[in-house]
Amino acid sequence: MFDLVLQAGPVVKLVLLILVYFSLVSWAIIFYKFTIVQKAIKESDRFLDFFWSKKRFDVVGQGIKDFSNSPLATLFREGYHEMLQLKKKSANPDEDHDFSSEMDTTEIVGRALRRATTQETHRLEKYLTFLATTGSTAPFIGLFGTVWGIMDAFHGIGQTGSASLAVVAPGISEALIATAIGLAAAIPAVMGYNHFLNKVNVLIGEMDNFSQEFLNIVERMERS
Amino acid sequence: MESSRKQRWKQLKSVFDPGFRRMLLVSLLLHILLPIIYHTPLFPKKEPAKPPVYRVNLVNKIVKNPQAGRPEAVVTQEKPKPKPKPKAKPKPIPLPPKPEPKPTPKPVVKPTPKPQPKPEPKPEPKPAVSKAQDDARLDAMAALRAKIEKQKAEEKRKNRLDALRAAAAAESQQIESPVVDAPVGMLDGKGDEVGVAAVAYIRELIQANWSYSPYLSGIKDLEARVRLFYNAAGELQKYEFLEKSGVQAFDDSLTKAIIRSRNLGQSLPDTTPITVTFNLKELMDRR
Repeated sequence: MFDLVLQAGPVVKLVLLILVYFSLVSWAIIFYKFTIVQKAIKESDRFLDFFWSKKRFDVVGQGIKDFSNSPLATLFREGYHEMLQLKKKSANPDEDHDFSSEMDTTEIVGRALRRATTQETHRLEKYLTFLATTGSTAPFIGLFGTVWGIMDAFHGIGQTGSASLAVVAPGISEALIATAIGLAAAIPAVMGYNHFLNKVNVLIGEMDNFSQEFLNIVERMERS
Repeated sequence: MESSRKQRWKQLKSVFDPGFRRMLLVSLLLHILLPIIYHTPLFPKKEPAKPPVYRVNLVNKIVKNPQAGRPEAVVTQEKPKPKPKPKAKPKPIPLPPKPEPKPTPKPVVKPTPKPQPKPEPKPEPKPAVSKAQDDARLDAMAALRAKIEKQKAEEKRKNRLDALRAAAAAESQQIESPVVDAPVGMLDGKGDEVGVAAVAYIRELIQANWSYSPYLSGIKDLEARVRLFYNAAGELQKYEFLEKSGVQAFDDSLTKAIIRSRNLGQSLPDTTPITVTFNLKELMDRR
């Protein structure tokens, strides 16, 4: 197989190099995303258990450092931080009034949670676009290399004046390796993209649910 | 809190996350390891592809570095054909002088013998003059005859050559010649010599001399490898079976064909032993 690569023309070699780059980065993203998403899911599960087992926000706030990879913990930190800020302001009414002083606490905390959700979503989705690009373009790049290689092979056939299988087959075989490598780069990329997108969507759902629960608690606290 | 937000924003905007570089390295190692693993016995390699089997025109010359072309093409199909024609044309030019000497000696010869026989009854003056004349005449006649014979031989040779070329062309067309103007060479030829490779030629010759028993036709996947030792004159010195087919009749048929092909009829540029694989199916398909 490696002989085929070495015998290929310069254009096909360049195509193969691009495809190897795509494959290299795609696999790096797959490994990276795998660790990130796995950690996020596991720590979020643990954080939810921890959060519901404690009755007080300050206790949860103290133990949050153990869940640095959980997006839900980040959401809690943002919301809790916003709550503390508002409490501080309401405790010292003499301090300078800013534009948030006349707003509802739930609304302010809700906005902070939405911002944190967006940020976490971006973090979780980072690099996934590269997987999508690889999945959609690598087969075409490979196909380009194949078409070019076959053009070259037919040119050679025209020069030797033979159309026998012994002459046609090696050229086509060399050319087809570009499509094979294109598919080898694209298939894991597409599989990885779909897998991680699904996991990220699950986490986004979890973040939305957690935000609602958090706001409910904040509102209940305000009313009481 | 502000600092952690800034840090997050920085991380979002950065090309490489802290852990991503490590994963790139892992991926790189994986891409290097895969080809190495591919070469381990875990992935058994297929047997190397058999050398392609060509149809070879046996009128072609065996060369060491054949050029790219077709082994079944004929040399005469290239350009030498038009060349002999212009050579033949100038021949008629020297011909016109031929009739010239004819009339000159005739009037010289004829008038001399005619008036001579009359006064010949007196044999005295003749011997000195007629002997010299006779000698000259005989010489001229001999030269003329030699010339005519030479011309006839040349014509004969030309006709024979034309017939041979026509036969070779017909033979090459009979084999399969998709490209009429194809040069003589090998399909994978990379050299610059007009001719065919020794292996292909010998294979074709043995194939031509091979005959099989109809009892063998039931078994088609028989194969034997033979090493042949030819000398520079193209004569078989010895042969040895590297691999026998396992069927005695097939091996015997090959032995007979090899012995029939003991003389290649032309010299070899190289006396390196030649290994040929004979496959019964291929041999039968090409019959």
